[in-house]
Amino acid sequence: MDQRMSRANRLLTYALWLFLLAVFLFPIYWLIASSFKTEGQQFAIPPVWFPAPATLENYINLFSDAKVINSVKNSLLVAGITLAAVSLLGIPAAYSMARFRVGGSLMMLVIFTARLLPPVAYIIPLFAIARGLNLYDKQGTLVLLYTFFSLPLAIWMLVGFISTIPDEIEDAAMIDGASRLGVIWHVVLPLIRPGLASITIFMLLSSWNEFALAVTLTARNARTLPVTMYTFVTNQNIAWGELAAAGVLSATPIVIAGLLVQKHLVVGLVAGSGK
Amino acid sequence: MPLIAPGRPAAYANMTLSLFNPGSRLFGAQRVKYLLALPAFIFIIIGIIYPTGYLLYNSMTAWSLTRLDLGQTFIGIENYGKLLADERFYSSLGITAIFTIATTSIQTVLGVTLALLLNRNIRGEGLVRTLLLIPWLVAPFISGFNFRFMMAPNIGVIAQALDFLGLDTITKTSILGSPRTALGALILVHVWNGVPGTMLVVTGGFKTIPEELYLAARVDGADRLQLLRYITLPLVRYAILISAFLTTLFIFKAFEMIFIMTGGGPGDSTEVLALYQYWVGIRSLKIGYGSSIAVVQLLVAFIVSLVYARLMFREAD
Repeated sequence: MDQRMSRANRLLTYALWLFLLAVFLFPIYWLIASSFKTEGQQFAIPPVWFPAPATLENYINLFSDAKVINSVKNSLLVAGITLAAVSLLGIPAAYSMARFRVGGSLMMLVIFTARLLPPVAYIIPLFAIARGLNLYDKQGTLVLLYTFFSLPLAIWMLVGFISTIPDEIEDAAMIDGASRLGVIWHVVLPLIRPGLASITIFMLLSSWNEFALAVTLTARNARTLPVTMYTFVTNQNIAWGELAAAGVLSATPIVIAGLLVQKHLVVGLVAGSGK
Repeated sequence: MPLIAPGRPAAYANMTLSLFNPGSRLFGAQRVKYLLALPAFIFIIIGIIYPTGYLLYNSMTAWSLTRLDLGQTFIGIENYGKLLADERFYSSLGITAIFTIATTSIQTVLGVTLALLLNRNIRGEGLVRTLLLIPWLVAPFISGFNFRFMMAPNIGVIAQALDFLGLDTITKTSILGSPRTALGALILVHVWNGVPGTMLVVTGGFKTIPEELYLAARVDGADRLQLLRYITLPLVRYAILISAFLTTLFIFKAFEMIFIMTGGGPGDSTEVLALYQYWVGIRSLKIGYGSSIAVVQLLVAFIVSLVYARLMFREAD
């Protein structure tokens, strides 16, 4: 609002910004710095503020650990298939709900409520079911659960985005001879591309980053990266350098993607919550 | 919209064809629209009913994986009776309430303040807002490990900083290892993680306010505080409400950072409902009793969600 600011005001503003950034980003800096520290630097008193000389030891150890490699594979597999399944189920359903009001407000309410169900409250029955049906420690089990827990949010956001497309555009395509699926694929999806990007981020936030279900439902075979990282913590000690390195590697793609679609995250959050 | 006639018997033949064949859409579209939605609807409904039903049923059994002789004996509401006499349950309810209310209020006030501070059209503020998003984008489990290490007694950087400031009375027994400070530390870490989300939603609310309103008010001689008081805050009230509710729900079910940082300890000073049911149901393998705690958790979440849903659906109309 205010274009003209006094010099003092400007300085004060910048000082405030620096303070905020320092408080909020220091933990992130510390994570990254720790990932480049030797064990000696890690536990030094006073702390080593900047790792010089930096070491790549933690990253090298990480990549030479077969368990880590296996769990990265699992994480990629589970997140990828979940995303595909959510798109396959969610896009047609959201389209049908937005365009034809299929399911009406009742189904919107069901989806809205399903979206808010706390997965943590389902850990015990899911654990019991997984054991009973021989689904314990299987990647497919995680895919199924993540799809279920992400689908409502995806549909909710998609309905919001698709409703913003004027009917006339689709009608025009239909008159030109496109089928329903053709319209979804060639007209609707390209128009909501920014929305799709932010939905993808939200889906990844709940599959790639998921911890509670994965730690309960997987063991040696289907462990995802977060669970393997948890095994770095033992009663005797914490392999902190490797933990930090794994954290940096696991967080980087999501952070970058999130920052890139930042504007649409705002749109997505607000549109996705019914406004 | 529907330029399409209601379905006729003959349309059944076209049901699958019409998905691909534009010529038959006049007959098939009625069914296509249901066909498009059906798989997801079935999936969601089964996904809700099956585990919820199983949870409810289990909560009325004596099922314990350490006492296989008992099996899934049905015992009615016995578990719930036991719950009413369980001190650890009441303690976890109380801790959950303190944790949820404190985190949500601090996060909302701080988030709104940050959004206001960074909504002044000053060059560079977009970058600051972007950078402040990072804590929100880093997975909670990673931040959990990170803060646990930063708060570790003696060696942790936060512990050392507090010692340096002469606050070593706090760190003497370690921040997360003392019942007096552990919950507070967890609240602050959750705020740190969640504030950018609040800021994002509230900033989104600002964007919906038409610039003309401010111009008009200025012409009428309003000062900056008045603009804030009479235009900005009332118009983002809805956005603030949304984010406060989302935060409440999110914090109520918070699990992983607590699990990783304190595991509910020391003692049971940070044991929220989510952790208590985990210890009982998964670690002690008392499926039946653990389920009854989970049911309470679900019930609370459900009630809060319904209030929230009512609010949203009414405001949206």
